Amino acid sequence: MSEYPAIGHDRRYDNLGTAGASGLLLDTRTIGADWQFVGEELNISGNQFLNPIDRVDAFILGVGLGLASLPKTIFQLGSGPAGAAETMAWYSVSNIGVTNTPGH
Amino acid sequence: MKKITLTILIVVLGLVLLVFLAKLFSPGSYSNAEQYEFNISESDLILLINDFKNENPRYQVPRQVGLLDGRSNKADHWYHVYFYYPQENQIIYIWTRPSGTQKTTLAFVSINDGLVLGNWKDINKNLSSDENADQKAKFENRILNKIKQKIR
Repeated sequence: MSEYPAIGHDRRYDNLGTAGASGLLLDTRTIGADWQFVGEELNISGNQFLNPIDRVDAFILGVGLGLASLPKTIFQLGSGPAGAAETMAWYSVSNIGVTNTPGH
Repeated sequence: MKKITLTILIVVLGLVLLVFLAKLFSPGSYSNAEQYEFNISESDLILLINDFKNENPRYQVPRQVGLLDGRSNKADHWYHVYFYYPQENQIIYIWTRPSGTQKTTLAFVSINDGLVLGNWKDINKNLSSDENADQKAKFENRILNKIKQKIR
């Protein structure tokens, strides 16, 4: 269950043409994709109808990726309204045609 | 003095943790691929690759393998290209992707041992450091540099 958000997250990275640790730590274009992933994972972890292993996995994945993305997010949003607007614009670009459905 | 040392230690540990986490997640596709930048359009680079293949048919993957160069569908970001090393009996997988109007990224992704697919090893991931360096040097000498020479 907790892997599905990763599918969409990878596709958003692919749309932006970035990948890997450097993309996650340094590429500010992926901030929207990262926090969407964090939100989806935390949603899963908070769902009491799912099994506890999936919920713990989702929590670890969400918090872990959020931690990795946090420094660039602080840097980007600290640059003012333009930084936030840029983040929204890149999120729209990254989101084109993306779903969490496997194998399409 | 102790406070400063402790602060530095915490910052360094925090950075190490961040890099570790980021490597663990490694989001996106082909995150280990070795990338090379070209200051030409993707269509021009593909033409040069095809020229190279026509001039060096020994590097073409035998037809029976069924690997065709190109995009898998209209929405595919990557143009997939395959080469063959007859001496080593290995298939080389690369892709190209535009990285600007007149810029293109070419990435060396993986190597398949033999002509039966399914024995892929990713460059920068599944090979020993010696073998990895050897494969990259071989690819650069046999293919990449020859393609670069065609750019005028």
